[in-house]
Parts: sequence; structure tokens; C-alpha cells
Amino acid sequence: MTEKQRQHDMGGMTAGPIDMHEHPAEPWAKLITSLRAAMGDHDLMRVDELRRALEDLPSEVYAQDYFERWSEAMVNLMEEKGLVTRSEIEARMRDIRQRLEA
Amino acid sequence: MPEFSVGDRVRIKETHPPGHRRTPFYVRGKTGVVERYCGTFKNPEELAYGFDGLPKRELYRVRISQTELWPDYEGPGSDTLDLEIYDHWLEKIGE
Repeated sequence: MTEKQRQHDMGGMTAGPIDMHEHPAEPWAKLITSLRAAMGDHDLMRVDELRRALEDLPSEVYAQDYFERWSEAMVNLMEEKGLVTRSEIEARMRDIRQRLEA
Repeated sequence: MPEFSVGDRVRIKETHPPGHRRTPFYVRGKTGVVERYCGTFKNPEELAYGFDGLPKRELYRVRISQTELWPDYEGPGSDTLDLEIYDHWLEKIGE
């Protein structure tokens, strides 16, 4: 990859082996998919914007699992649009974790 | 009237602007032939930043020889790849 080539633009590059095993979708990944659809339906996020936000992720975040990537990009877009901040979402995650562990 | 016609030889611009772009890296600077005109669509490179994507851009299906794309291609020389490219990424080249 050259500095002109963006991280998602991988056509023609060596990909290595592909894991062909079926794996069930995790519940949180289904939730992220639903949130993406709802945000689209409410004109809060277009698929083109999500793609752009995915491509713009730092390489260490982009290297994560597919739906981790989606959720990070969606948080960045929501923050960019002034809908919610990352710290608000993280505070909510802490609240939920504390309740589950109580 | 569409800017390009079926059969036109075209070059995909070899440029590397920052931001969200819909032309893959590996086809930039390559030449091909217009296979069909696909119609007009809002510009996804603008939609990606929250703009209205207007004016709409013309989309073309461009046929490129695999040996043009990959110098080490080992398949038949007649193999091609079709991909859809927006008009602002194309320039016509002479016969």
C-alpha cells in the first residue's frame, strides 16, 4: 500500500487465507445493523457517509472486527452531526455495565 | 446527451485527491472502452459529506483488459473487467 492508496482500497492486493466457516451474528452486531438502518430511515446517516467515516478511521481501529468498525464510524458521524457525543455514549455504556454487574 | 458513447476509448484519471472516492486505486491511469451508459446519479463523493450530490453525474460501465490492469496476469488475453466509473473520472482518448 502506498501513501496515495487509502486503507479500504484493497483491490488486487494479496489478501491471505479466507475463513469460510459459518459464524452466527452476535446480538450486538444485529443491534448495530438495526441502528444503521434506523439512522438511514430517519435521514441521519447515508450509506455514503458511513463508507466515508469507515475509510477515515485510524488504521488501528479499521483493523478491528467489521461491526466494531461500523460502531466506531457511526459514533464519529453522530458526533460530527452534533447528535450525541462519544463521552455521552461511553457514559451510558458504563452505566449499563454497572447494572449488569450489580 | 451523455458525454461519452459506447465504444469510446477512455482513460481513467490518474489522480489521488483526498477524501471519499468511488474509483478504485488499481484502475486509475488505466485505459478501457465504454461498454454502456448507466444513467445519471447523485454524486456519492459529495453525498459522503452531507451535501446534496447535485448536479447528478453520468455513470459509465467501462471495460478494461485484465492484462492492462495486472502486468503479471496469466489468464487469457481476452479476459476483461467491467466496472462503473463516474464521468468526472474519465477522459476520452483518440483512436
